[in-house]
Amino acid sequence: MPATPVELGTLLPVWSAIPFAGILLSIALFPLLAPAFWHEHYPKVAAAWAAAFVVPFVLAYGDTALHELAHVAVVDYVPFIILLATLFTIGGGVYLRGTLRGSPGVNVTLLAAGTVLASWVGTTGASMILVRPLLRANRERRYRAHTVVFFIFLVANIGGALTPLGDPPLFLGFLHGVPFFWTLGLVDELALVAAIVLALYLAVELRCWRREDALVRARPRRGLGEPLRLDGALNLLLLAGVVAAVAASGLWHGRELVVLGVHQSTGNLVRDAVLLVLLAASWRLTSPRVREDNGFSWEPIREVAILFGGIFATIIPALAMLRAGEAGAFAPVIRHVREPAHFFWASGTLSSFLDNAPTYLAFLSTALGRLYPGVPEPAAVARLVGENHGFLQAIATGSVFMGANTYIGNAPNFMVKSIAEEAGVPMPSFFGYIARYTVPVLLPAFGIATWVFFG
Amino acid sequence: MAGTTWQELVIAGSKDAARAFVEGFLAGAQAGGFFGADVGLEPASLGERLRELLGEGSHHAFFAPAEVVASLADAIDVHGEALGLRAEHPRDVRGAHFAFRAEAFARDAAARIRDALFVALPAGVRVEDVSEAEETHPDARAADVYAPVHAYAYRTSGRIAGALPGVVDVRGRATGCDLIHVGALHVDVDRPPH
Repeated sequence: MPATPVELGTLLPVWSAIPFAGILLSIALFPLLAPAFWHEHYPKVAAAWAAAFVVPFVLAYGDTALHELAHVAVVDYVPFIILLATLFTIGGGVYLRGTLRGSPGVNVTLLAAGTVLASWVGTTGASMILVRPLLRANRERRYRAHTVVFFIFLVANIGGALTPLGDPPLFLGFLHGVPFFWTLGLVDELALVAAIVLALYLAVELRCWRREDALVRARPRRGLGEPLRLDGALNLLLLAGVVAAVAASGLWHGRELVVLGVHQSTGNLVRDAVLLVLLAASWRLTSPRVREDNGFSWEPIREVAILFGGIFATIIPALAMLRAGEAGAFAPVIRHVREPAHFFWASGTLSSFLDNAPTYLAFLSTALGRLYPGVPEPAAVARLVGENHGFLQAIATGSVFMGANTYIGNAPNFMVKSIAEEAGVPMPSFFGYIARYTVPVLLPAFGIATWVFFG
Repeated sequence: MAGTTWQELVIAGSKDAARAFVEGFLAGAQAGGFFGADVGLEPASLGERLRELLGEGSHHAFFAPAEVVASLADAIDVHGEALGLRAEHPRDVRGAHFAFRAEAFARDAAARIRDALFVALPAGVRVEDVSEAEETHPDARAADVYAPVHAYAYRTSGRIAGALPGVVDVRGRATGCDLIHVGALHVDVDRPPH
C-alpha cells in the first residue's frame, strides 16, 4: 500500500534532503564564485539536483512519489510562477521619468515610497521601478553606494512584508492556507524595522551629504530638469486587478477539481487565469519604449521558472520530514526551534544565505511539525493562524526581513547591485556589505524587533 | 618640478602648532609643500597615533623642495622652541609610490578609471606591475536576478611610482574617482645621517 503524504515524512532518510540543500547552495554560491559558469549552465545544475532526488524517489515510492510531485507542481509551482511573471510584467511596464535631485530629502522619500510600494507590486517589481530613478537622481553624487544598500534593505526586502504579493515566501504561505489579509497584521513589525532602518539611513546620508562637493549640494534653479511623469500608469490599474484576483481566491474557493490527481479549487484556477489575462494585457497595452527604458527582459522569469522547478522538486522530502515533527528525521531541528524568537532568527539566518521562499516553507513545516504533528496541512495551518500566530509572524518577518542581510539573501538584491554597478556605483563587496551595513544597521534593528515582538 | 630635489622634514610637536607654523611660513615665503597626512602617507605607528591622541605631541612629515625645507628648518630652529616644535634632520626624497585596484562594469566608468590613472601622467611618473583585463558577455543583462553577469567588466591593478609631486598629483586624481581603491602613499627617503 502506498505511503500517505503524512507517513512519507517518517519514512524518508535525512540524506534525501541533500539535493534540496545542494540546489539552494548552488543558487547562493555560484553567482559569487563562478558567475560566468553559473550564467551559462544554471539550468543544467538545477536539472541535475532535481534528477538526483526525483529519480530515486519515484523508483522507491512509485505512485506516492508521483502524487507528491504533481501536488507540488499544481499547488505551489505553477501558481507561484504565474504570480511572479504577472507582477514582473506589470512592474516592468511602469517607468518613472523626469529629473530628481539626489538630496537627502528626495532619497528618503524614494526609499519610503519604495518600502510602501514593495508590498503591492513585489520587491522585485518595486526595485525595478525605482532603482533607475534613484540612480539617475544621485548621478552627480560622490557618496551613493550607501543609498543603494539601504534601497536593497528597504525596497528589495523589508517593504515586501505586508501582503502575499510583496515577497515570494508570503505568497507560498498564502498558497498553503494563510489568509490573504493575515499579512497586513505584520504592519507593526514592518513599521518599526523600516523606521529604524530609514532613520539610520538619514543619519548616514546627512553625514555624506555634508561631505559632497558644494556644486552638488547647491539647489538648482527651478525649471531646468525634465518634470516627473509616470509612464505606463495603466499598469497600476492592472496591479489593482492582481490584488483583487489573489485576495478573491482566498475568500472564494468554488468547487474542487482534480488536476493530475491533485485537488485544486476552481477559485485558484480562476485566479491564475485572471493573472494570465492581466499579464497579457500589460504586455499588449504598454509601450515597448517603457520596457526598453526599464531594461525589461524575460530572462529573470526564465531563471525563476527553471530554478524554482528544481527547488520545488527537491523540497518535497525536507518539508515532509519537518512536517512529521519528532517522528521524522529532522526531529533534532524540531526540538531546538521552540519559541517564536527562535523561528524569527532561524528562518532569518537561513534566509540570509539561501532563497527565502523555500526557507519560509521549511520553517512553516517545522512549526506545523512541532505544534501539530500528523495533522493534515490545511487544518494545521488554520490552527497555527488561529492559535499560535506568533510563530507564523516570526517565520514571515524573519524570512522577509533577513533576506536583506546579504547580497544572496533575496533575488532582487543581486539585480539592484548589478544595475547600480553598471551605473558606476562602487558597491561594497559581499563581506563589505555585511560588515559595513548589515551588522551595524540590520542586526540591531532585528534585535529590537525580537525584543518588542517576540521577547 | 621634475628636476627639483624634494625633501622630507619631520617636525616634532603638537599637530596644531606644527600646522600653524608651517602654513604661516609658506604663506610668507610664497612657497609650496604639503604634510604627509594630507596626501595619504602611510599612517604613523600606533604609538605615534596614541601620543597624538593623548596630546603628548608627535611627529609630522612635511614635504617640499629642498630649499623650502632648509629655510623652514632654520625658522623652526630659531622660533620653534617657544611653540614646542623641533625640526629633525631633513632627508632627500628618492621617490614615492602607491598601489591601486579598480573595477567597473560600464565602458564610460572604465574610461574614467583609465583617465585618472594612465592618461597624461606628470613627468617622472610611471605605472608599474600593471594588469588590465576586459570581459564581455554580450548576452548578459544587469536585470537578471539569479544568474547575474555583467555584459562588460573592466579590472585593473598596479602601482604608480616616481617623483613625489607627480605621484601625489596622480593619487589625488585617483582618490577623486570613487571606483578606484587607492593604497597609502609610500615615500622612499635617504637613510638618516649618522
